[in-house]
Amino acid sequence: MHLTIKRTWCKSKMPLSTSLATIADLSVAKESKLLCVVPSTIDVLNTAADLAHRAGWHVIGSREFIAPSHALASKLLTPAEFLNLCRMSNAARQVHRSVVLSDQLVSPVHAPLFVAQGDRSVFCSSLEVIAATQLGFSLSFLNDLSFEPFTISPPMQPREILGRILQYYQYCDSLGDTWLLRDQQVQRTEEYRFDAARRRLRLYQSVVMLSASDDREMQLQLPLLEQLTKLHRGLLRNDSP
Amino acid sequence: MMAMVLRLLLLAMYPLRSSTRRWKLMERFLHLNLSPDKARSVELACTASGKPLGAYYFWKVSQALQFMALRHLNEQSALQLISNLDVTDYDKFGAVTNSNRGCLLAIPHHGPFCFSIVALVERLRHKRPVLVFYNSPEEHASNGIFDDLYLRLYRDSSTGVTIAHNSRAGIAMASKHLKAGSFVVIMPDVYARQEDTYQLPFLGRSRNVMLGTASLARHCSASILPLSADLCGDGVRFRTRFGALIEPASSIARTRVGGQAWDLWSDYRTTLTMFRSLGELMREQLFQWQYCDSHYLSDLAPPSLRFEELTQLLDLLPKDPRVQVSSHSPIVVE
Repeated sequence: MHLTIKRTWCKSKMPLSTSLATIADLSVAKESKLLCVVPSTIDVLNTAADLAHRAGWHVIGSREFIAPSHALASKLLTPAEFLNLCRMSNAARQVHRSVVLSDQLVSPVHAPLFVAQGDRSVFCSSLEVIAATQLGFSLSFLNDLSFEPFTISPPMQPREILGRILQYYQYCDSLGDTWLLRDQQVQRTEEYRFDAARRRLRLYQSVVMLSASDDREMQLQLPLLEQLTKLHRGLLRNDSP
Repeated sequence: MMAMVLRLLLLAMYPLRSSTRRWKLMERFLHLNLSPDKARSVELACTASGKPLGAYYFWKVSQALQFMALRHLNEQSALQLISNLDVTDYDKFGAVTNSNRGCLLAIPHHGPFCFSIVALVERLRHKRPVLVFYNSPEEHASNGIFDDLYLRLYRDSSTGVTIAHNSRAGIAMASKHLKAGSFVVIMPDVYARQEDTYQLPFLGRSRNVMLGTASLARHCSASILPLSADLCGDGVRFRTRFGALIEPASSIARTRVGGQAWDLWSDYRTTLTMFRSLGELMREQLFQWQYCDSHYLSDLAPPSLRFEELTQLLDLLPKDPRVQVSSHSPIVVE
């Protein structure tokens, strides 16, 4: 899904974008490593696009959700690209100020951590935890309606960070119709992940079988088919009540 | 008499067959609920069969009239009507009926399939027992009409016909019938949950399919006869068309290691052959298929990879994070 968004940030006086811009200014002054966790709304995306074009700023999200025509598209980094950049010794000095659209990180690749809080459990992204615990980033969350950023600095415990991320999801939910990624959050749920994995495994099994032209070729691919079949059976067992 | 009435009613609708445009009023009248995507899929199905969109409307009008007739006719009149409208050439079917082996008659939801099923059952039931197997109307709402018809016609066990719904008990009953050399009518183009299906190429797109028909045939050493019902050009008569008999891949070739995977491959290959045959039978009148309004919204056919490409994926596919889901031991946050 691509979101087609008009570039209207310069006209916008929405508090979210103002808040994000304020963080940007503060961060420049402090020269500290900062990762701002923000929701995908039209005004925030437009402000993020503007920041991404400034020197030393990086914006992280998923290309799946940004239209190729949007100003952010050419500058958006995936979590893997961002971490690679941080780990390159020369570039690391350049990576101080970043914005992550964590609500876009819903896929199993981006959100592998299964987190439970009370009777709620969802898959969360790991980028924020890695950035804070291994790369020395402070995290700044826009996670309440007062639009005051909440910043936590190292040393931080992964559970503390994940707790903040869950609060951030709740905050996103409170944004109503302005939150563009609401429908995608189902991908964080256990039920969706199991169903999607089963469908994908069946696709892989189908491709393997479709590709074998005869018994001899199939005999050679049998270990792969057996492995995929076993994985599928495992998902059925995991899911059973 | 009813055949004549149907013929006259449809005669008035003949001009509709050549229409190339959408008729929203007609769609509302027929309760078609075509979204723009579904309408596009129907148009593509018509194009694939070399027919204008009007052929689809004409088929739907004909289907509605058939169902209306079946609801109002008593058992004998319904059988008489079906017999009068049937123009099938049964010569090819003879070889199947003469064998003593169990046979699955695989018929898709295409054309006047419930007429075809009744016509076949009427030919077969005096020779060997027949079991008609399908999803219950509770699971598959559109099965309600023929569920009602079959139960009216074959409620009495002395008819030699058994009705079984798709359930554990129904599958056991089908298996028992096949092993005893009976006929089992089955509809292979339907599934309840996508997660349980495999994908194969079908009429230019990917089709989700269950392997149940092939699996039943393998377990019971039964053959599969693909067949399809076609409505004739007059919109009233119908013809059942038969594919070549399919022998399921034998389990004898099972290797000691990977036996289940080998059975899976056998069933997939049999299903692929069956759907190729069904595709050939349906190709000329694709717009008469119940799923023509969604088929062309599906992905393109799944890829067939070269052996070398597949070998390279040996380690990668099972490690794909999208197929590795574990919800054990969550990280608990206060």
